[in-house]
Amino acid sequence: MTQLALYLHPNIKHDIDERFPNIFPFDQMVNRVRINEIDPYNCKLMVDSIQDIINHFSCNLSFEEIAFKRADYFKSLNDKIYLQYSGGIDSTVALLSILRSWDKQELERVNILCSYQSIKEFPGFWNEINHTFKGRIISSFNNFAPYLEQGIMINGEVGDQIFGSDLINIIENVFDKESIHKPWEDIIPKTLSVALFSATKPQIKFFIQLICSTFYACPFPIKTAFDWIWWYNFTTKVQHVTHRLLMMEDLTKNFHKIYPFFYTRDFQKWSMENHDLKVGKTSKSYKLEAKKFIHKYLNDENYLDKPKIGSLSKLWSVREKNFAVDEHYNIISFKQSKKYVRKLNENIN
Amino acid sequence: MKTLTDIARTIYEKNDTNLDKLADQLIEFEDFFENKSYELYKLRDEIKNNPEYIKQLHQRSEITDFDAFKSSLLLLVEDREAIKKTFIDVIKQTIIPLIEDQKYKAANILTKSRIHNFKSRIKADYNDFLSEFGADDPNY
Repeated sequence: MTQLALYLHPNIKHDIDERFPNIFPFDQMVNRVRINEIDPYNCKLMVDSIQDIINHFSCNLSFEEIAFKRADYFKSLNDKIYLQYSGGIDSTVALLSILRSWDKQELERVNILCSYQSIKEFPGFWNEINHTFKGRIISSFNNFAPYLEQGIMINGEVGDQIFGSDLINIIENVFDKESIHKPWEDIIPKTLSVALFSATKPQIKFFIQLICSTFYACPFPIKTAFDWIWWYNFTTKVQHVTHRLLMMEDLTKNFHKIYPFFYTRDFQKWSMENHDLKVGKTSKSYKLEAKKFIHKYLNDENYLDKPKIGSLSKLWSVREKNFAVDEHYNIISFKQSKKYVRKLNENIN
Repeated sequence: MKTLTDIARTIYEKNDTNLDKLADQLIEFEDFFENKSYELYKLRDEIKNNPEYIKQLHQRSEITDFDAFKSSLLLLVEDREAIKKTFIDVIKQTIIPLIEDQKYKAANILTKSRIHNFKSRIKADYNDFLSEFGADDPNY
């Protein structure tokens, strides 16, 4: 029987196990440690399991070296490239890795998909982007399917999972900038009660228990709030972020031509082995190593303090339409997806 | 089918009162869209015909290079056109099949929700645009 890859729709929902918070995107978790045990939907794991990453050899490369290795890989594909650039940290790393390691002629096969909001988010980079890619800059509000007929698409997805989670903004707002390093038990319940605002206290408790039940797979003890949010995001959300474009558009035919820049075993291994390089003393330094990379190659003084700004929701808000996708990337209906709702084991935790 | 009005017209032709409200909403949204896009269309003309005015706008911008600034404005216009095209696609791909299947209630609900989302996006962009380029300018 064909399996579900992901339930996609953020607003129209099935009745999932009532103990689980039915709130987007938490309801779309596909756990990579306890596979097919604790998720609200019965989904096939389509991405690396945590064990796959643990088994992956340690490449001992720096973040910068892995980024350039990724750019080299794209160069070797010899395809026309459409790079989704939001002006945010992750897609800036992706673009900059290519821009600083390819020559002018090679860059001619790169097209930039962005919006006016991308420019506003990082105006300091726009002069160079316009100069290098003029005539190959396209609005990201267009449908992507035609571009996938002509080449491959690269986006900045999985950057958040490598570095932590945007829950860091909630911790900063509810507590303060230093609280990310306090014991998770003091910070996470309140943080999740804000993030999962319509969930009940028992649902939040249940959700925390489920995530904690996977701690055994982490190579170091999860002690702080930052450890917790990274582990939650790293172990449960990669399938969601690598497939969520399908919510906006039927890209079934060429889905394999979409490359999340940070979805490699090298980056994931780096994330597991370099936890101390993800953030400094305060939440202001979130994605520290990526910001250092950008600072080094763009020399933008203000970049090290750049806050995390979500960008994809600007596209979703006008384009969400598909309900679910199966393991072959076929879009399936709301009704068809109902059978994949999981009844969690009575005693699970 | 080029415009929302064209789509609405074909829906009216079905002579089904269950669908009149849906078609009305599409026409109303097209009016809203054009109204909120007027400034952008005007800006596109200015980029073509009035370099002095664009130079004035450039003085307020964080983008230092003039050519890059002009490109940013053109992208702003292109974004809006792409949003409209996307909306028409959404209607064609999700609403029209529901109408064909005579699932009028679902079609009405979905149309209302889609219009709400698109209106929010456009209003946010429109306010950004005014605060950046037009709020203190009598020409706008």
